[in-house]
Amino acid sequence: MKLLYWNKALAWKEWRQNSLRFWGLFIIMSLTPVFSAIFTLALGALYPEAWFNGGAYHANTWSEGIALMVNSGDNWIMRTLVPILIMVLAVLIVAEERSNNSLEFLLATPVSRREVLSTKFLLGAGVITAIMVFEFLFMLGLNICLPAKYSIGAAGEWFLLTTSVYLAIFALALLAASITGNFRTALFAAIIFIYFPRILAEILGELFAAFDLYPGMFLIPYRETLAFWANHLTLPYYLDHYCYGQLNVWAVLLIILAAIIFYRLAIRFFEHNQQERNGQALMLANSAQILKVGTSILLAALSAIILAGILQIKGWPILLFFVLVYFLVSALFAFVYRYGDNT
Amino acid sequence: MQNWAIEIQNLSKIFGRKKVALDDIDLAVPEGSVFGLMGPNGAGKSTLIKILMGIIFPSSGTAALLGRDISNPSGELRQDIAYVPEVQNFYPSFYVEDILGYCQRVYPNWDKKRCKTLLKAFDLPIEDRVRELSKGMKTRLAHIIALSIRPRLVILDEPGSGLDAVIKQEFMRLYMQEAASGAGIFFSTHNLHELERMADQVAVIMKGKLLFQRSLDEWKANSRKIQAIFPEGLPEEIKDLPGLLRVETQGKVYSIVLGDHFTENLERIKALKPQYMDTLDISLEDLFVYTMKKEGYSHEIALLE
Repeated sequence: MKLLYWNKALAWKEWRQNSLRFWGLFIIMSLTPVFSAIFTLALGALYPEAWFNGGAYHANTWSEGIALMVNSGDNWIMRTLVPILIMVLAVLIVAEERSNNSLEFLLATPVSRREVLSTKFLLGAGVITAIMVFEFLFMLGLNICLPAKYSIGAAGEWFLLTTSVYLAIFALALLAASITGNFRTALFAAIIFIYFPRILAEILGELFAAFDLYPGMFLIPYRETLAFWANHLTLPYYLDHYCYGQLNVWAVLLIILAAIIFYRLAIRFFEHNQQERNGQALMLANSAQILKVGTSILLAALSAIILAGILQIKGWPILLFFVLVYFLVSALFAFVYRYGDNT
Repeated sequence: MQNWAIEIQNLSKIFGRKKVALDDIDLAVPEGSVFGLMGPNGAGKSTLIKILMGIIFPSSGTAALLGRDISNPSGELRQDIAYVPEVQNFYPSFYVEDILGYCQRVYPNWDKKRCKTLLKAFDLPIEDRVRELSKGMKTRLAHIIALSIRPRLVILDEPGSGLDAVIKQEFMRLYMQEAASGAGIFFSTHNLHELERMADQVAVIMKGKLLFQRSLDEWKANSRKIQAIFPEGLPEEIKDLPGLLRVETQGKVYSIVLGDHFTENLERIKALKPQYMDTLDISLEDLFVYTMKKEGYSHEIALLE
C-alpha cells in the first residue's frame, strides 16, 4: 500500500473548508502591488487632470509603494502582517480539525495521516506561491508597459526571498500545530518557533552577563555571535532586513531547504501524534510540566536581569536569586495544579 | 482456515503514565458475524474502537481489520470499513452534500444511487449545513454514509445514540441485511435488547479487561436462574458452583443465578435434594448486570431518607 503526499479528495475538502481564508489572504497580500497600483491607475484614467506629481501614469505616482516594497522591503503588510496571517492560517488548518474533532471523522476515512497533513501543506503552500507568482507577474507586466520606479530584478529578488520566507513560516507553524493538541497551544508554539530565537538570544545574553559567565573582555563578541545566529534563525528577520542588491542566493536556498525540513518533520510528528481531542497539549511530553518549567525559567531569568540592572551587581548573588525565583514560581505552579481548578 | 474480520492480540492502551484504558485485550471477530461489545461506562469500548479505526494508537499489542494490520499507516486499510462513532464529528460549516461529496471522492465503492435512496428514505436535507442538524440527524447522516460505502466491515459505537426507535430499528435492519450479504458488524452498545436482537457473538469488557467472548446463544443456553428451597438452608456446595453469579434470598426461596455450566450445575443442585426447584430463563440485561456485579461493578446505595 503506497503512502501518498497528495490526495485529491482531501484537497477538495481543504479548499471547500478554507477558500474564504485563502481569498482573504490574497486580498491582503495584493493590497500593495496589485490593488494600490490598479486604484491609482484607475483614478488617473477617470480624473487625469486632478492628479499631481506628473499624472497617475507617472512612475512616482503609481509605483511608489511597490518600489519601496521591492527595493527595501518597506511595507508593513507584507513584512509584518502577512507572516502573522500565514502563521495563524497554518495553525488554524490543523488545530481547527482537533478543536471540532473533525480529525476523528477524517482519520476514519480511507486517508493516511501523511496525506492529511501533506495535502494541507501543499495546498496552503501552493496558494501562497500562486499569490506571490501572480503579484510578481503583475509587477513585471506593469514594469514592461509603464515607466516604473522599480526594476524587474528588484521585483524578482523580493519575490524570491519573500516567497521562500512565507513558505518556511507556513511550514514551521504547521510543524508547531502538528506536535500540539489545540489552537492556543499550537499558536503559542508557532510564535515561539518563529519569533523567539531573537528574544531568547537577548534574554540569554543579558542573563549570562548578569551571571558573569562571559569572560570580561570577550563579552561583546560573544553576544554578537549569539545575536548573529539568533537573527538568522528568526525567519521574519530576513523580511525586516531585505534590501535589493544584497540578497544572498544561498540564504534563499537554505530557507527553502528549511521549509522542506519543517514540512517533513511536521508529517513525521503528525503521523505519530495521538489524536485525542482532550489528549496531551504537546505530543512530546507533559504539557503542564513544560509550562511549569518554561514559565519558571523565563520569570526567573527576567527577575534576575532586572535585579542585576537595578543593583548593578553580577555573578553568584544573581545566580542564587535566579534559582530562588525559579523554585518559588515552580512551587506556585505546583500549588495551583494541586488546589486550583486545572481542568 | 477461519477468516477474521477483526483480530486483536495483547492490545493495551495507557493514557498518560498510569491510566490503563485497555489491558492486554485478545479478541477475534469472525468474518460475517454480528459481534456485540458490552461493558459499563468507562470500560474501554470506545477506546478500543478508536484504536481499531486508527484514531488513537495502542500502547502495545497488535490488531488487524479484514486481515490488514492497523499499524499500517496507509488509508487504503479503511476503504471498505464503515465507522459510526457515538458522537458525530462532521465539519460544522459544511453542507450535508459537501460531506457526501467528500465521502464520494474518498471511498472507491461509494454507491451514489444507494445514498440517494437512503437520503430520501431517512428524510435528510442535503442543502442544510451540518451545524443546523440535530444530533439525531447527524447520526442519520453517519449511518447513511456507512451504508453507502458498501462496507465489508461495519464498526458502530453506540449506533442508536440520538435516534428515535423507528429510525434506529430501520438502520439496524439495514445493517442486518449487510451482515446477511457477508459484511461483518462489530458494535458496542448499552442497549442490551438491541444487542440480543442483533448479535450472534458477544464480548464483555470491564475496566479495560476483556472478561470473556462467546456465542450469545451458547451464553444464554448456559445461563439460568434456579429457584430452590433447601430444608436446612443454603448448602455450602452452592457457593462452589462453576459459573455462579449470585445467590439471592427471598424468604425460604434461594435464587441461584448461573452465568455458565447450566446443565452440569442443575445436576449438582438436584443432588443436594431441594424440597422445591424451578428453572427460569434470564434476560441478557439481568445476565449482564449480575456479571458486572460479580466483577465488582456495583452502585447499590442505601435508600435515601
